[in-house]
Amino acid sequence: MIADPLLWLLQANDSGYPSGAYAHSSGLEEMVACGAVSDARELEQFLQRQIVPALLTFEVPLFGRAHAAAVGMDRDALLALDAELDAWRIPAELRDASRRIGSQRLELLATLDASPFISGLRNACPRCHHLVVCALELAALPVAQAARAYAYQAIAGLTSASLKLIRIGQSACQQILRRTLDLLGSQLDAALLREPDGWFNPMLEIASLRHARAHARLFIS
Amino acid sequence: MSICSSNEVAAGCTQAVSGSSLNGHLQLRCENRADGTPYISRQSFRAPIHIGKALLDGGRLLLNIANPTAGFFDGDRVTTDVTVATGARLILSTPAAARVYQTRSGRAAANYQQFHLAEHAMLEWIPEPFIPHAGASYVQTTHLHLQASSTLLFFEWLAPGRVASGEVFAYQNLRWQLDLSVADQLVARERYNLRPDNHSLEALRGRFPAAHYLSVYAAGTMTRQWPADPLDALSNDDVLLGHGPLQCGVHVIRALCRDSLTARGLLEKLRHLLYAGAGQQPPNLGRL
Repeated sequence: MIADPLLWLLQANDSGYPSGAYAHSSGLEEMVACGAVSDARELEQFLQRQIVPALLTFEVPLFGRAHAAAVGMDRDALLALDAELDAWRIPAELRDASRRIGSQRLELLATLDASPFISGLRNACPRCHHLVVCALELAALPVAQAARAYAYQAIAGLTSASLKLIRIGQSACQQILRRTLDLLGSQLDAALLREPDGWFNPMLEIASLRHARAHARLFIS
Repeated sequence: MSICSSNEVAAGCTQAVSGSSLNGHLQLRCENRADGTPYISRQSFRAPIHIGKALLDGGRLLLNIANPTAGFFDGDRVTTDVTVATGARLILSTPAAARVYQTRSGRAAANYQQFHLAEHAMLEWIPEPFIPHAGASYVQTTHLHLQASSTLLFFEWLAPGRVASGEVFAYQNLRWQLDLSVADQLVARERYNLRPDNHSLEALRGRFPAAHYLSVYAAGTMTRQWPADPLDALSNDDVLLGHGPLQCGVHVIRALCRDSLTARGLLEKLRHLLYAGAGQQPPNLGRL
């Protein structure tokens, strides 16, 4: 049982929390290799025109469902969402990345917050998707805050990876992150009220598919 | 997620259409005779759909589906229901591009299609490009139901519009919905709206300003010897291609092409590579 959800949120979203997410670029590495993202301006455009719309259209609404299932301790609903995520994530590398991060977080969660519900879910699906585990982790928080934490992880993961992939400084990166989060935050509550829908991003899909077969790479995904 | 259920598709998603729009359908069942020769055992179609005479090519039945009207107009609705029975092999193609015209009423044209493949059945769906004209509004819903031993080649080719007439991503809205399942396990799900008035076309036209988009789902014998390296070699200055596995032995290919000639050339190469991997010659469509 989490005694102070806000402090728990800070712990679980801290860069020191060992989720393994630092090893993933979620397709950005190959986007850079393809020439689709090559500088700070293009990174910001990529985040605001492709990643934020995808979060608001698909992941945030789906997160809302997962959070409701976690609050209701509805294991079947969480497992159904987990299975559905495999079908939405076309590139194998993105599916695997999500499951790797999710499983690492779930393992740690089961240690830090050993409830029968969490143990049961881990036994049923030890390699849960990150989205499902994050909803479970943050079930003690209101969904609007939990969804912000999830979306923050997605965007901050990309800006963090960008530091290793393009010529960009820490300060510029934080400015891009700040503006992107402002954009996201202004629309996130409305997104939570919508049905999950897809977002067309053939470039990122192709980049992730190609990254899986790249001869040299820095990141796992 | 708004998508017609299988029952709704079977019923034609019968919302009212305007007095001038068409509500057509195509129902096909392909099965094998006792000697193993495939034939169309049941067919029903209504305008704007017409089908040609079936041809045999190397034990596969090749059938062309035509739209003798100019294309889809607002409010037009077509429901397609294709079943390939155990062991039968069916190739479905179109002799010309599918066009959807500017909506005058604001209503979308709708195309609902479902394909059922039985055990050891094979289906190739290889249409000509889909060309959405300026101001077009269109909804396409596809259900692909496979069994574990089914073989599938499912091509889609989305053009940016009538490029020669200066219409590039000038349509009003395209709604794409696809579910692919194997033995009732959902393997791929696509949902998206493409509109020029938001960022939904950003990724499509980022690489090439008038990009043609190709998507391929392959399963069964078409994936047994997946030609990974030759597929990788198809990317060049005019083509950006990725491929990889889904669940249940299904594979996917996605590609962005600079123009229609590049897309057509790529399609031809893909067919040859995938059929070669299955130890077969691709059926002759008479145009590729």
